[in-house]
Amino acid sequence: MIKRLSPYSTVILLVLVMLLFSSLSDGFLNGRNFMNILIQVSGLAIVAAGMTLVLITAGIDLSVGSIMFLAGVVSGKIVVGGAPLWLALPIALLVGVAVGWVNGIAVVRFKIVPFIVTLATLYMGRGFGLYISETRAVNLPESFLAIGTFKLLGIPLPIVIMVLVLVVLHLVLTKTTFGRQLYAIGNDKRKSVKAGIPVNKLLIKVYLISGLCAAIGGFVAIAQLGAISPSFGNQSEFMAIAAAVLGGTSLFGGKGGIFPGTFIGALLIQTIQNGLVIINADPYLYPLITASLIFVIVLIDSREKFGSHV
Amino acid sequence: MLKLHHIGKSFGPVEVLKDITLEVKTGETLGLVGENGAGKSTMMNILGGIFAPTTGKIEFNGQAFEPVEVSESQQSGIAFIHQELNLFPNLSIKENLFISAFPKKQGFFNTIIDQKSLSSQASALLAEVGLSVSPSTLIGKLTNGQQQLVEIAKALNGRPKLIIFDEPTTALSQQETDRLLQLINSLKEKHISMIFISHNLDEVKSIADHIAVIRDGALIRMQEAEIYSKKEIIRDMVGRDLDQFFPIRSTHPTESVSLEIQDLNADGKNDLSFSIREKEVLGLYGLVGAGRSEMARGLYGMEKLYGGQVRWKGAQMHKLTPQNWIRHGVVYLTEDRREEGILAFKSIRKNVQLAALPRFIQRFGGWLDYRSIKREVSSKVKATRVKYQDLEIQPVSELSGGNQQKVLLSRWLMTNPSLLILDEPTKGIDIGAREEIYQLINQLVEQGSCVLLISSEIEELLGMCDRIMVMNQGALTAEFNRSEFDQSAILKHALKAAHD
Amino acid sequence: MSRYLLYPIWILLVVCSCSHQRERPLIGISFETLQTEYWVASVEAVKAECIKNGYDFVVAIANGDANRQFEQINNFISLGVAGIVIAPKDSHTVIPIIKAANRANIPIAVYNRVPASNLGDYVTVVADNLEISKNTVTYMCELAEKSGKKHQALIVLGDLGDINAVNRRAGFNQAVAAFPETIEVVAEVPSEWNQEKALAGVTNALQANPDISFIFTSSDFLFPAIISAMKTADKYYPIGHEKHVIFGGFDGDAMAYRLLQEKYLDADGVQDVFYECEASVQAVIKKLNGEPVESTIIDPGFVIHQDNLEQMAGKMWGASF
Repeated sequence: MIKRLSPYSTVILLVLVMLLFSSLSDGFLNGRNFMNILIQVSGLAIVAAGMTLVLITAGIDLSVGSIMFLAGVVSGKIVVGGAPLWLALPIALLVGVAVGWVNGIAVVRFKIVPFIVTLATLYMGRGFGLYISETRAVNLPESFLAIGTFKLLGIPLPIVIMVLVLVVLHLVLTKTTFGRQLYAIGNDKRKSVKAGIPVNKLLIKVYLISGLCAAIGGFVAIAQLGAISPSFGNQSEFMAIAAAVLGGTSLFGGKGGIFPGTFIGALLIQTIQNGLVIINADPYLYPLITASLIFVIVLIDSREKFGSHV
Repeated sequence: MLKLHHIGKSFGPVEVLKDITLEVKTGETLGLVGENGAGKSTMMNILGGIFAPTTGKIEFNGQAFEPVEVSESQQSGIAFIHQELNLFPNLSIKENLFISAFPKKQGFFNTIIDQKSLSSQASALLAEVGLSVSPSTLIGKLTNGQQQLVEIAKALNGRPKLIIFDEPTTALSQQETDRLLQLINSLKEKHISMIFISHNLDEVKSIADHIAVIRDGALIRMQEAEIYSKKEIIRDMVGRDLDQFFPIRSTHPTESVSLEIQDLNADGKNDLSFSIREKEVLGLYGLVGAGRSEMARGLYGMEKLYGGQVRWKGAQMHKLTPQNWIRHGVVYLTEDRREEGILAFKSIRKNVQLAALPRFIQRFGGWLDYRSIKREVSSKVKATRVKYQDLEIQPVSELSGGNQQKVLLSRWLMTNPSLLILDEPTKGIDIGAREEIYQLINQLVEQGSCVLLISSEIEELLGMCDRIMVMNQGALTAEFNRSEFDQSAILKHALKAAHD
Repeated sequence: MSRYLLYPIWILLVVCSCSHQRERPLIGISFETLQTEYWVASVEAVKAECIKNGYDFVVAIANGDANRQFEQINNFISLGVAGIVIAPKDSHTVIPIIKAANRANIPIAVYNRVPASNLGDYVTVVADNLEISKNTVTYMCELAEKSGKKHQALIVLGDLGDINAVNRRAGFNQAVAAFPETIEVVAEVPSEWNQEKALAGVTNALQANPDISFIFTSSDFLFPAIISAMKTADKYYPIGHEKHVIFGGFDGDAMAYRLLQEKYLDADGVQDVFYECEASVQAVIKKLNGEPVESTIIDPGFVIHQDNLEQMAGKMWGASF
């Protein structure tokens, strides 16, 4: 049953959740609140889109939360230190690419399991960021916040960036050789090598893209926060993985996508967070809901994995 | 087209190929047969550019041929179709066909795939192999036979001059095999040369122009297929006459019933009832997909059961789980080697001892009695004639498929089973080894065990069983005692509904 | 694995310290985390107090891992420390740590969190979170009452697995309960001590309740996120402006000090870090000297606001950053 619904089961879940919240509060179903949700989801959706590519190759990138933090701290420190604002973005992206490169090289050259590699860079990134920031919050200048609230043709910039990143990655996954070969790699690496796919080159690129997306996603989030606390990005990797898996991407590789997939997954997570605040739910309810969400994710994923054998 | 001149290959002091000289002409099909480990794979690996020969020369398409890489061999026009398909079930047919080189659209740095051209090229290739499904179908939705055809289409895309088929029919049903053989015949007309490797001599004889037999790395004989009789081929492969191919048992089934099954329902539709007696070999025949394995897996607790009563040696079995069955001395060698939990990177000894370890726990101290284990493992491995270099060091992954199967058989024999369920035990195994497996079965039965033998090879069942049951679309449709064995009647019952 | 990697380092440390023939006694300082300024300020204050009293110290940070903290304490014990000051991961996992210290006969002071059971011999130094937040919110409510208008209130909660967060919430609730005419609580936003969740939560709450004019945060470190949300909702104005929102926090960090100076913040509950750290170290020293010590030392804290800003700033730890 779940198996057949698969790509759209999350969409249905999202609609149900939205119906539920709008019946509980008048403040939920309106254009402004929906815009709010879209702005709030932008950072997560971008990080999760990069994560989707990694998951499709049957890898995992646990370092994204730390990349968000490190990229933010480095570029924030530079701007606070007097460098021009426009420099912040390229530097943040550079940090993301650099960590992604380390991940890719370690996975490909040294043949270390992605889980372990990115767990190591998770701690390295967080530690390095804490060292640079001396465990204090980096308070960013006003001009930084202006990026977060800037509107392009009436659409808030975070949404524009999210749509851009997601559309590009969606096209890459569905329309290019690179994208299609990722699915092959995720299904079977050995067969892919035999079929003449440059597996190693592709895997490095995938971790680069994930690092880059993490840096962009972090940047979008920071531009809204106006400050980077030492816990910024903590556990973002889990949210990103959750969004991707909720959207039908398999942790076992070879399956998944960004539209509707990961985007709807991220939207579902953010909508629930938003709706719970809007209806002023009991704060002790939040972890319960998160827990049942994780349960649903695992259920969907294992059904798909093992369902296909029967 | 292809000429091998005095090809030899040694790994260190071991000579695996000795002075092989043979020729495949344009549009001709060579059947290549030999036991596991005879040197067929080495020969193919040389053609594929994986090894270089130690001595001799290869001539392909009129030119000296010395490939050093897989891609080089492909580019010069040699394609391989392996037993294990190199397809991705999560991608569509057309994507699989062009996975390493998609047709691109102009513009966007030429990165966007040209879907139109992809579909039309894919359709053309599928038409060539006679597969009439949409090129957008996922590979995972195809049957084994259809996947095999896709693999061939993929090979044809490189416009090969020589295609090498390595055991292509192992995973196919009879109809699929027939279709594949037809396709190979049509490729002949396109002047493509082929080398066809198979253990199934009937197939080889029906398809090949010449048959070459290799034994112990040397070419024994190469002759026109029409005048090379099956008996001669077998003799050349094994090196001796196999007059009594199916050995005769000295015992007969007793009257005491070992396993009694009532209304076993493994597919939610059919109730199956049958029993196996002591010292009996019961055969289960049916086409692939008739529900034989499903029944056995359900019985063994590896898949869901919808109902049924099972009595083992007179006592009701309540929990049908593999652990419980093993405790009662009932073991099941499944069709799928990987699922059997072969420890590919562990030594042969560790693989063989696995299931029987509890038997070797010493009464005092609880240590394992390694001396007895080693002694028994090496005797079992000798009995099943596994070809190996070192029991302790050599990982199982280095053995050929047939030898891996024998390792698994040895593992179950170590447990001294009372009932052995064998699911296609000789599939992909060479003739010499088959005979030994048959003898092992007989030995076990003579010692008082019983065997449920599931097979798609009717000759094997006719030769080995005391009784044969026929299964068709999930139901038991007929039963024959040894005295009433009739090949055509059995076949008729197995095929019946399919034709009605 | 990192555990095994650490052993040689510890052995090396022990060897070094033995060969060194240490003259001054050693105090082990174990902190759960250094992830906010509050902890950084605390650990610095404890170190300073050690030095002042002629003690050496070793510091270990557990990075939020209760197991690691337990191991670090065991390492302290084998290192031969004279006393231990610990800021534990949580109130339960500290109990085996206290037992271990007791077995080794090493006095232990528990900083900032009350152990879940009172078994064992220890001194706990803790701010009265409930009382401080109650006083702070009461001060805010009085301001609200003076304005003569009704106010809709929002509280940003911490991690509800953290006893301090729970107490601060309780303090808030007790305070507003005394002003039923003036204050109506319309939103409780859980942050799990996470900035992004705080930002999203406050934004959503302000969206759902555009009349909110009273905001209290359970920790100062969430200020940037909350302010960002307030700006989006057009609610961030200094005291005196007609759109000003009565705004209060808890901790007393550097940003709170700055916001007070800039007149955006009305009140902040301050934990007296200097007092608490001094008391922790003093408790250990007194135990070592065999002097009697109370088992619980309460830091009454104080509320800093616009009227007492100058006189209290010296005691506010954030003011010195």
